[in-house]
Amino acid sequence: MAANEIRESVFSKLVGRWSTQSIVTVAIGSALFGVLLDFVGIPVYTNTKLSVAYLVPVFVGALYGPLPAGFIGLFGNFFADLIAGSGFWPEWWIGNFIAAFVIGLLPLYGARIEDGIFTKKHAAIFTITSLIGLLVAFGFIAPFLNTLFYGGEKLINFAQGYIAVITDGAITIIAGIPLLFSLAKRNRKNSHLTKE
Amino acid sequence: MEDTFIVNYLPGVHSIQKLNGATKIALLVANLVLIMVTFDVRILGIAFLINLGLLLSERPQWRTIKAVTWFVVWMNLLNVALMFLVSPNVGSNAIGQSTVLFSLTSHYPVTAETLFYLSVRLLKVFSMFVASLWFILAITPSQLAEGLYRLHVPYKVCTIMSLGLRSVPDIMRDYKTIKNSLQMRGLELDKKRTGLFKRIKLSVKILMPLLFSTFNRVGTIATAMELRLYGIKNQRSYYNFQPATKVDWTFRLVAIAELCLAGAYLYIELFITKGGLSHVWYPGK
Amino acid sequence: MTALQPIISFKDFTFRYKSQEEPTLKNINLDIYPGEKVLILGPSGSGKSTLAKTINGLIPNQDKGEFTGDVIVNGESLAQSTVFSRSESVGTVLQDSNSQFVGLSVGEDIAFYLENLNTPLPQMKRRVAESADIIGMKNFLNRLPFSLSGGQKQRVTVGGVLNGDAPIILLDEPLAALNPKMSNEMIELLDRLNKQNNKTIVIIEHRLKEVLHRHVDKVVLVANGEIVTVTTPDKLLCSDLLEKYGIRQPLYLECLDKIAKPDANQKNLWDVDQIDLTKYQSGVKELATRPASVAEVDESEKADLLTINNLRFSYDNQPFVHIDDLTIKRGERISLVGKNGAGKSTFAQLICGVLRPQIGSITELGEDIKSKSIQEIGKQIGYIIQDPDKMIVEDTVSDEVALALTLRGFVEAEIKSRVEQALKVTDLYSMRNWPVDALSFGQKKRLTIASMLVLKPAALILDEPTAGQDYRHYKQMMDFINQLAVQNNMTVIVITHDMQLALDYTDRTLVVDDGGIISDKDPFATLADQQLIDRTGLLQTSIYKLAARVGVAGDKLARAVSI
Repeated sequence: MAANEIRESVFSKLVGRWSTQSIVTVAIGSALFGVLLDFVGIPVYTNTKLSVAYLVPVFVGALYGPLPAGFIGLFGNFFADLIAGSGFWPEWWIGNFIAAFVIGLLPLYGARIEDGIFTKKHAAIFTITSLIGLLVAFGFIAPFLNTLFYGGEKLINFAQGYIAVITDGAITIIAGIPLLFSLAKRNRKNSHLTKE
Repeated sequence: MEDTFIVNYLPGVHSIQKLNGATKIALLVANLVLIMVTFDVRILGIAFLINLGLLLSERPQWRTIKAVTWFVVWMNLLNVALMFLVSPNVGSNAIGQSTVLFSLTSHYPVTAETLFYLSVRLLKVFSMFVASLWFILAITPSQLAEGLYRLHVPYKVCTIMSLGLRSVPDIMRDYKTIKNSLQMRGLELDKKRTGLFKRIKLSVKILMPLLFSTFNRVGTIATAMELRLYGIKNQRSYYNFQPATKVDWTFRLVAIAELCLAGAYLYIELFITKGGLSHVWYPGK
Repeated sequence: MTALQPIISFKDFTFRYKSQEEPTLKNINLDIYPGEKVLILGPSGSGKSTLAKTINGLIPNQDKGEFTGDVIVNGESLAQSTVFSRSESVGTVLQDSNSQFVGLSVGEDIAFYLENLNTPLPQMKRRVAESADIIGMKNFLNRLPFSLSGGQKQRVTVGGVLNGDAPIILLDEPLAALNPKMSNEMIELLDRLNKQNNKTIVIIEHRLKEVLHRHVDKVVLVANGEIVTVTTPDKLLCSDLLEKYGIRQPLYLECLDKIAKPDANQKNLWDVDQIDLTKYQSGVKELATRPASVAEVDESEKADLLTINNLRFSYDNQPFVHIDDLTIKRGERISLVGKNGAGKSTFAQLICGVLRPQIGSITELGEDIKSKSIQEIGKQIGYIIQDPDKMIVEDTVSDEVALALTLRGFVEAEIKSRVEQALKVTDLYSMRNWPVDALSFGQKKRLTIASMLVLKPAALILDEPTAGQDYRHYKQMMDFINQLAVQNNMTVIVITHDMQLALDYTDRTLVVDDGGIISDKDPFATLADQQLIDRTGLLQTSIYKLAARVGVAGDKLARAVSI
């Protein structure tokens, strides 16, 4: 059992360092993601939907960073499957983790939303990185795993993936960027407020 | 509200629902792994029957599962039909031989291999579905958290499960409150009156208060947890813990057997017959 | 009490939050002895919550700042404390009962503390059962949080705290979200814990009269970060300190004060059932028999706002709301009261078109609302939900107020003028370009009202508009709402648990029970109906008890004492 114990302690060290606040953020963020994925959207084809759920990783990534955002994608998708009952499709959990992670990379390239900093340049970088993230996650990895696990026609699986890229990308960019600007505006330092 | 959910928050009474959380999780993982790994219709058939048996043993109400079942069945039939249309020789290509039964048109021969392949595919996805379904109907959020802990997942991850699922009904209620409130102010989400682009922008308006009111609670929740000593030790116990019974161990053995089968299959496919991961066993070959 | 050591001791304690310029607590000296029941009383902003955080260790560990002096709890000094170490001595109950409830069932939540300590299962089950018994929730162990009321969740938290055997129970504004009945039950529970289980109870509150449902050993009055006085309830009630610091006096005392100021040696001043009334008897009788100066309003002149006919509504095929006949006129001030789950919100949602009845009709401003959409009805009836954060969508104050108009496509000029007017009425005009996050809670509430006012609705429904606020802010909010009703002929429907609010600010009380309206009278008469009280869990204000003791009609006395 030694190998088991070592693996366990490394993993638990990785997760154990997380503060209670991070755990709570991921927990309720995942709940939010799951609810939105299931109940606030229009199914397009099989497992793809035009859903506003992707705004959650945008929000969480902006304020807390990529790893919480990624986990929200992962656990949130799991919750969504649990609630809806139409089956567990693990390749999508992985896809959502990767996509949400990349979308949440904002702090890494200088967009400090909690200090009110988000410029047009950041918006441009966000658009590009998010699209790349979605492309990698749903345009490549998820359909690849899909074909690996369930066979099926590659073309269709990849098409399904691309649809997800487009729908989630649409929400992330069309709705997400105004959201980020809005957040930054709200967090502008309020020390110089005067009554007019 | 919870009739819209498939998952139950309270434990059920049928035999497999009474099982220990860890057992159910282990059984689910083993089944999913086995189904995902193999393309051998014999093994898939066994897996399907096992999972169907597990599902039927908890006497699911047809009313509850009707919608999802039809959804999954139709979506996958559609998918399979599309597969055929896009690549009519998919089966023959995968298996490596072609036995034409009849032809729809010159471009669309129907081969036995293709029919077989598409059936295997359907069997696979339906097995995944049935496996997921019995699990969802058998597990409760508490058992999920506690079961994962028994399987050596760090308890902080288990908290994500329990706290997350605890919050789901509240979030649904908040979403409805916010949506109603905005509609009363004039938000129009009716397809007939607003275009898609506008609807996307408007749904953000609902999201803002939802995001803020949800995440504003994080601080209080975390504080409340720490005031009750959350995180003080490296291990924690679970109030909902149920000790494993003989029945549990029987099912756990089944799970282990399935995992071994999956492992053996992989080993054989990769190293012995060198068929590769997507190799489909075909009786006529 | 024998010469014991204090269990909580503040010594010359001054504390400044890192982000603030001024200290929040100044020179606090206070001793609390084991087994005492203490109320820390003060208006909002007085620093009383900060005081609580130094006792349970949140300061300085979670909320950073600088301090001088010390806060010694159970022998441990502040500098050496952590949240964990303090939690062994202090069990904290916070205001937000929903956020504190982390378990998936009552039993699980009570067990949370023990789970974190890796307690073995048999021991844990036993202790949870014991605690559940003490809080009176023995049969609720499997209940889910979603199905519990705020008061029940609050009790479960107390149960969880009991597991830790901490000698001190600290409660930060525990009564904020509770209706009067649950509030009394909580105070009774705390009293039992103090007397039977020997717990030291420290309650932080501004609701003096609710806490005095049972006696407290001492009251610590806090204002502006300093201790004004440490005294007994009786002495406090005789003084003029309450008025000075914006704490509402118990009503029966307001009444007695009108007759003669109670002398300093009066005993049991705090308890309306026991106070010596000999010198007040005649004065009270005189008040009660004064001819009522009720302003005669000619109701027939007012136009109808809405009428309900033969209404039946069911949730999931379970019949629930049933109203045969109801008319509400324009300009009326109405309170909607009843137990949790009685149907108040359902009723409001039916009026707003969020829910639609299966049978019957609702007519508003002369038109049947069956064919109208939620948006159309929203033009005439504004519904202000309890939590402003769930209503606020935009980033700046003026954008937020303008939202209802921009969504409906009003022209720019019209929007500008309506927004300006609404902002002026709600006293937010000077803050019109501020980000919404910069507003205080009370300001946000006014903001939500302003954002509905722009539509110039005929009626406003307000869900618990004063919940969580201290007396000064409560009065401000209600006076403002009152003004709206009077000046604009706007019907105001207030959903509330606070009967005193109904008495002070409304003319008509609809009591909802089990989906039906079982009483439709003015608030004074409503509270005089003993059968009604027993059935619906409403609570009479202390004036009624005073009246009963003297032998006069409760509603007559209440009418005489109010405005």
